Amino acid sequence: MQLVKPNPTFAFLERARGFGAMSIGLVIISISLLVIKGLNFGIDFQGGTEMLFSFKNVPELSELRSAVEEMGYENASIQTFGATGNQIMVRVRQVSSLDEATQAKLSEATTKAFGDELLGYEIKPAGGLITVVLKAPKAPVVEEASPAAPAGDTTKTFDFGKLTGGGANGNTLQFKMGDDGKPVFVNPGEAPAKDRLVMAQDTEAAKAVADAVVPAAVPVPVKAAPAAAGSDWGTDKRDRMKKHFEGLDLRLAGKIDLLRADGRNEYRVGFAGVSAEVLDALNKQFPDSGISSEGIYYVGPQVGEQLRNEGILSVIYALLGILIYIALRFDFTFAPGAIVALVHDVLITMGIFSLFGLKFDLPIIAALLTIVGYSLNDTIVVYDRIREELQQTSEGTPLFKTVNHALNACLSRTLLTSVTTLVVVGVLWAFGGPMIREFAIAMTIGVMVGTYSSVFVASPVYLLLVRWWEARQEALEAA
Amino acid sequence: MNQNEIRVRLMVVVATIIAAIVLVAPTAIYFDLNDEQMGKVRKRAEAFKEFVPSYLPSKHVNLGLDLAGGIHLVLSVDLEKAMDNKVDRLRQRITDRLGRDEIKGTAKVRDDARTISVVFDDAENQAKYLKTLQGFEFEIIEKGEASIAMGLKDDFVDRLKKDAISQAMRSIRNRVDSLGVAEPQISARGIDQVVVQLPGYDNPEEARRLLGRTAQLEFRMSLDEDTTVTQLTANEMPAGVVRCISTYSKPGGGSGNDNFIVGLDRDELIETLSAKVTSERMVAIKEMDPSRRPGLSRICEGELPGTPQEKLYRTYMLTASVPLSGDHVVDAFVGTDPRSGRPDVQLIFNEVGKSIFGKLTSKNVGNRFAIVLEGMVDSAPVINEPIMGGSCQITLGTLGERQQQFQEAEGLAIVLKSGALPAPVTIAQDRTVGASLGEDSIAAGRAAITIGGIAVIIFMMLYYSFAGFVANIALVLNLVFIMAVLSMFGATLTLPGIAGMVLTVGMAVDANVIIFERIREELLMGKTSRTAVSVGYQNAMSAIVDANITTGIAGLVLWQYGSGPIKGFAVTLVVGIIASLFTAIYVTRTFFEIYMRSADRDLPIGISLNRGGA
Repeated sequence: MQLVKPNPTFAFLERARGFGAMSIGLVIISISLLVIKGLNFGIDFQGGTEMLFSFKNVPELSELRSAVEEMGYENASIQTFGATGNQIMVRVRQVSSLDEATQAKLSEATTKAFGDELLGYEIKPAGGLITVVLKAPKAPVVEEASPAAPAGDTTKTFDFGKLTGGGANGNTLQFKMGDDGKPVFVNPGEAPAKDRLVMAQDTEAAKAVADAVVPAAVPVPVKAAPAAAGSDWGTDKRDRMKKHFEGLDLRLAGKIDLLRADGRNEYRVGFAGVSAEVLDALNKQFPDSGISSEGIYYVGPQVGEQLRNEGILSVIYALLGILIYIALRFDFTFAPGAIVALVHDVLITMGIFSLFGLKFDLPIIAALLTIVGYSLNDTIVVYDRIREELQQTSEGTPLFKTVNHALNACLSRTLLTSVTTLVVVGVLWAFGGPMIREFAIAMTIGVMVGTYSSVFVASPVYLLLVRWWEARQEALEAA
Repeated sequence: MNQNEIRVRLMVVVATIIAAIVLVAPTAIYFDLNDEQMGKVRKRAEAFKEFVPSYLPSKHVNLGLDLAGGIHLVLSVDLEKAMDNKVDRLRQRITDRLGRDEIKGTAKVRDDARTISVVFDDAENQAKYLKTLQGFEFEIIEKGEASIAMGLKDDFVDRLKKDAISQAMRSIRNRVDSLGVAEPQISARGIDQVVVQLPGYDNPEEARRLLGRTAQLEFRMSLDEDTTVTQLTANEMPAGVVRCISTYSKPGGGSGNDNFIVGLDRDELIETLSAKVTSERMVAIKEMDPSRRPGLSRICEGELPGTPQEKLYRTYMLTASVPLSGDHVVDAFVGTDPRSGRPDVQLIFNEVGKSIFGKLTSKNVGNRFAIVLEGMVDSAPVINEPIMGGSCQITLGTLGERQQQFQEAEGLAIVLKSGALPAPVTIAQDRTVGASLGEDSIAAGRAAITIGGIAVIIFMMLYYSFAGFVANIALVLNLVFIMAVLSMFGATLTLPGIAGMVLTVGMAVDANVIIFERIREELLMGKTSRTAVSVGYQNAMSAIVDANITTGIAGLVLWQYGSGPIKGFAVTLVVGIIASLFTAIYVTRTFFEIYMRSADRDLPIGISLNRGGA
């Protein structure tokens, strides 16, 4: 079997100008894409959300993966967690579902709710974090509103007149202590009392009461109902913070961190539209799996500065090594062409990743290195043939003819090798599953571009360099 | 090629194959373990030996986090403590500044541990200080007549916390790297946590020992002329605490007194003295081995507390300032103490540390300095002469077996070299995790690679007929050789590693394609098979060798300087290039020569030759 007829005579270099223009154009477009649009970095590079779910019956990993992907969280990492096998860790790179309007609404409502107490407010949608800095109270304000209430009568009346915001029904609100130690409102229509003074968000009255009671951090209910207390209501407003944001339809994540400093309390509120969405969708998709959320975290990137710098440095050293070796074994005029070709290949591959918004993650780095290796291998084989032809041709043969002849001579090998490699990476692309799809795509593009560049980039660059060098020598001699 | 040459070649090939099979066998056994056996091995790596026949080596290829999962550790960094440390260092800097600028006043960390108050002797000194005050860390929050209070600025606090986490991540990465665990995953989580995933590892104990150490190393001066200990009255000494005095000789004659108290409870000892010392000094503790009891009882007033087997603690009075810390250590390795023959850890300082250490030791000849490791005094040697060389030793306790001491010294050297953690770290969670690529993806990938491989094998057979078949054998051998070498190293295979392998397999196929095309060229020119094979290999050689060496150079550089996935890729690439050069050139040629032994046998290479008269 023969793919290419013996002794082909394609005039590769006559079209070199056109291909050169195309390559330069593609590289410029790729660089512009990388600068303007950038790469769609995955969780390895930019961090993301890590969610842990428990199942009673764990569905197939592939089903879970497609369920998560259908929600628009592509390339989620799905990993079994723990020894029992009924926990699954899901990592997606999205961290926020908040649009700008929501962010503005949150900001406005928070400023209003906390008023003078508010020292600072910042929302970082990318980090899924809201930071609220409040004045720390000097000492808990205890307002026993009705100390005169007769013993045995557990009904208490609170005067909200002194508090900011005013009360729901005038300035008073009546409740008595229930058997479980929790306050029950006397007027049942007013508000259901849950834990402490937790208000259901759907009743207007409850909201109004919350507005009145919560901002002032009244410790009274806690005092009146010690069983329900157990927290430092008044100095630690985590609950209040929680209710405030939940009331704004924000789905919170994790516990609220409180960092204390003198005169200020800093609350860090994590929110996660992402995990709540994932949990809901999984619940719908797998109703019998008994899914529950075990934790949501924001994870930082794995690729720190150290790793990135080391990586870049090592690649630069490697290129230098290649340059020196080619200059020694071939000629210094050969070396730049090889480097230009592999930079060309890597840039175009990355450009295509940028154009289609393909996920760029750690394995892609390995794919890029493989492309570099492939491109280099291909270029050296072509160069070797040029070197050989140079030794065999007689004086006076134009250089481009010799190079063209060399390209023709190894054409069948060039095609065969790239076809076999393409078969492998193509199969990987088609059947390799979602997690290595990007990897296979990168390799496929890289192999095609790498084959092209050995013929249409590396060789013409070599030719140009020789011409430039000869012209320079002549000019020097003439001078 | 003559018969003898062929015979030698065949022997080399067979010997290599046998060696490779022996080396690769443990890996085959490892991949074949059932879940229960695998669980045992992951708990204790040694357990693998039970499953391998004793005549085989026990090193095998491990699978990385992406392919087989590992252990998932959540480390909590005590940021509050990191802040405490930072505030204390800042107070120290203020004190230094006051002294340098001859401003009369004292700086003190307030009880909240976040603000520092400076009380000046008079308003004039305050004005002098304020005039020169600079620095981005602090803002003045209170101003009295002759005093100020300063708090950390908000953005500086934020930065401190971020820095603390990234410093913790850096030291953890260094420590994990020196463990030799391939491609760990390390990332920050939430505000104060670091997640570390280690591949193929199921034993949190060792990880805990290595990752949990702060490795904070400080050098402080010992204040032996301090009289706090000698002035303690009997009432002030709690029961079970005794006062001791030892003398040491100073270089060039004279002697110094080392006054300290000894007891069983370290906190009690610190409390006894701390109440009486100013903020320029601090009380530190050293653990005393029970074997030191006889010596101690001779120099202490009264009975030593506790049983003879109980260890004691003693106090040191040290400067609160830390002139030199572990930040300036660039290297640490295990050595042997020439006097006792016990292992010790040698420290090498960087240029700054070297100069500080030189100055400190020349100023303090005859005094003692204390090496404080993780809050405990390690040793307090007398400075006999200025030490300008920039190195010093840390001795280790006398406890335990020699082997154990060496292990401890190794561990200490690793943590000191990889840098201190900014604050204590606790392991909040440890769990095993499955493959990060997901078991389903791995199955799909494995199937795809098999399909791709078979496609290439069929293609080679169709295109090059018998020659293609030989190339396929070489290809399979190539994979066996790569796995054998990786087994020998006990390397860890990850997706990037597989990418490196795929590249070298591709290059091996390419090498055979180059050779076969060259042979075809020669055959088409009418040469006999034997000549064509000989010339074909010769002509192809330079292309193959140069291509492989160039890629190999890149691989070696990446192996040397890269880390994580880059290194994983480079290791298999370099190993693969060597294996593929051997199989694609040497092994195939040997098979061809054997095939063509009888003189007129043509090599079927997929083209029909029209030989007139043949």
